Amino acid sequence: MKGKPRMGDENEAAGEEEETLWRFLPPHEYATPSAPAREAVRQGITRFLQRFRSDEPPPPLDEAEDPHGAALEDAALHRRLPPFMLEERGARLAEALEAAGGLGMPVVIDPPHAGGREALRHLAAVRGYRIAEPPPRATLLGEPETILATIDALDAQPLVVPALERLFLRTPQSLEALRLLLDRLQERTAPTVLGCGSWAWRFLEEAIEIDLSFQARLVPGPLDAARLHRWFSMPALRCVERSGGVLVGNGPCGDEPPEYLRRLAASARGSAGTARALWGEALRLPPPDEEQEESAAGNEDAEKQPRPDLLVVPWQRLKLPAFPGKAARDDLMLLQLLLLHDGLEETVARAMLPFEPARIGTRLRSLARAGLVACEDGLWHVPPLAYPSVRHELSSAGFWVDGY
Amino acid sequence: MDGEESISARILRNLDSTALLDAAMIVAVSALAIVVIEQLTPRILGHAPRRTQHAVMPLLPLARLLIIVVAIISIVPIIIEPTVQNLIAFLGAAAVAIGFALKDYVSSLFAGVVAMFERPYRKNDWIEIGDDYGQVRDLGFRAVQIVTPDDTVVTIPHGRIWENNVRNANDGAATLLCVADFYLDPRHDAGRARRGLRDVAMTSPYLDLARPVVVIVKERPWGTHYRLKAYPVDAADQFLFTSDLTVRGKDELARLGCAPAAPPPAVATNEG
Repeated sequence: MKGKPRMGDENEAAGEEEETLWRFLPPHEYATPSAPAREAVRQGITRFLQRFRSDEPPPPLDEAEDPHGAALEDAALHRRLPPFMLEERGARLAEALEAAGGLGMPVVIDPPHAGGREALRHLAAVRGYRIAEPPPRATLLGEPETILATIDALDAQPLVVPALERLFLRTPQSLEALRLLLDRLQERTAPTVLGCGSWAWRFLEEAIEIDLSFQARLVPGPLDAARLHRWFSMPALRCVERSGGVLVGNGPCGDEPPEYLRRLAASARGSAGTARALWGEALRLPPPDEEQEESAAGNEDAEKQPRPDLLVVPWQRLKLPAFPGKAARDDLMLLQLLLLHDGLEETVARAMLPFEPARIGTRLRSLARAGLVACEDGLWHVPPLAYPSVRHELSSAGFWVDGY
Repeated sequence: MDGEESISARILRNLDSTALLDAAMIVAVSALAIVVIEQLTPRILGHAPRRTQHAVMPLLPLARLLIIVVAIISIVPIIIEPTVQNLIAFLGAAAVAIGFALKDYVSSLFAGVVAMFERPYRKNDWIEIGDDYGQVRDLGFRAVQIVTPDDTVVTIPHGRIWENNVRNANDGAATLLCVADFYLDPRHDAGRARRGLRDVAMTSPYLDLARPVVVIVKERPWGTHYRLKAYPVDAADQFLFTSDLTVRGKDELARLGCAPAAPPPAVATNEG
């Protein structure tokens, strides 16, 4: 029999909630981590000063000249970065889906790099669900109804559609096919879970009122500073705040997250993938001089704590992709399109934007030089390191952005 | 003659080099302040959120007016003995002279002051006065400068607001309503065509998604008239946006099998 929970139960539940690293929440409970006031002011001033810089991107910093130490090689960096924890995420997603049952077909709205798609795929693998893989984008451009055949072929089987944004394009024909697809999904009797990028969801809310059809909505919970502290400490790293930066070494983690992680959580807007990429970008091997200084100083801290084997670049000195000057409106439209569809091939982008087709390639390569886009297997996308800057620029210029 | 000299001597001060230098300094500092404000503010606000730009930019003419008024108030006591009688005499004489010689000019100046407070137009607004349509580039004391879609600068005296209606398409907002018209043969599925046109607007990269998209359908003697109404992200994109809606709208209607209407010339003219 269910009854009113006792006070002790509530405290216990609250304690469990604090312990939960990975969560899936209803969208209205999503709260973007806020930056410390000092950081907000600093960011404002930095962005203001950027207006007066040359439109040419600054030359990349020579690692030998970087006073904060050399960047880690890929293998070393991989060891130091926190694990993706797909099993844990998948388990939490399964619990959340169970709790949201009865509201109809569930949808996981996934902000860029937040890991919702990966959790869905893991869940499908564990439960033996089929995965609706997206067709090539060029096919969607010419024959958008292809997606219907994909779904029809999986008629009676439990299904996960991990990325709805890859099943349509922002064209009238594709929207028409998408309406039919969503109708077919709604008619399915076999268990079905839908995943959709947060940018595509925002667009589809206005374009086809998708939110009226799917009431059971979940979003990966944001990682605040405390959660990042615990997650980043998993590869046995100890984080200690020191004069604007963070020292990282082997050893147990303290209770309080450094202010550095508050800034990082706010900059990443709570997205796990973005936060992880920012953290990886900040990790450095200590320069030899500093190592000697540390050992020569012999101060109390050094005696009490093991000497750090990694440094984190002070937040102010962290070089992240940024627009070299005023962002061109064409570039912003292109970036918005990439975010909407979670990446696009150049040929497809050419067909979808009302610019001179040759110009699309030029703009993509120019944005890539600034680190704002990257190309993997022919698919151009906004990488996690660039996402905070791109989202901010789009929002400042009046373009619509996602809700997270 | 002596009497006239004594009157002017009573009104005007003895202007020595120091007084002239003071006056010149005030003029120079005021001019510099105006130049700095007008040059620096747009640059500083260049990347500020558009709401901030639209809130601050219209204040520039007011700031310029304030600087000039302060400069005049500072200079007059240097040139004139600042007694009440002298000021009344000076201002009265100035008013009569100006009233006769520069009636229209002064009318535009007053209209400019009224325009600053009533704000029928602000910097960056898209306005239509008489036959002229364009974006406000500069708000002077006497006139407003607009840039037409053909990239022509038109200077319109503020005095035109006394006798002309001023149409302001965005009224301080960042965006404005754009309309694309389509004329179809009446034998088609109107529901499908309407939804197709809405999707055309929804899929335009220029669209401001937060504002409504509306398709209005009206039956005419010669066919069906569709008006697709939507807002672009930036008012400056209005012509590109309307062109994009028109080009892709025609493609979509053709895909849906809707034939264009062929109105009789007389009807087409009346429809205007």
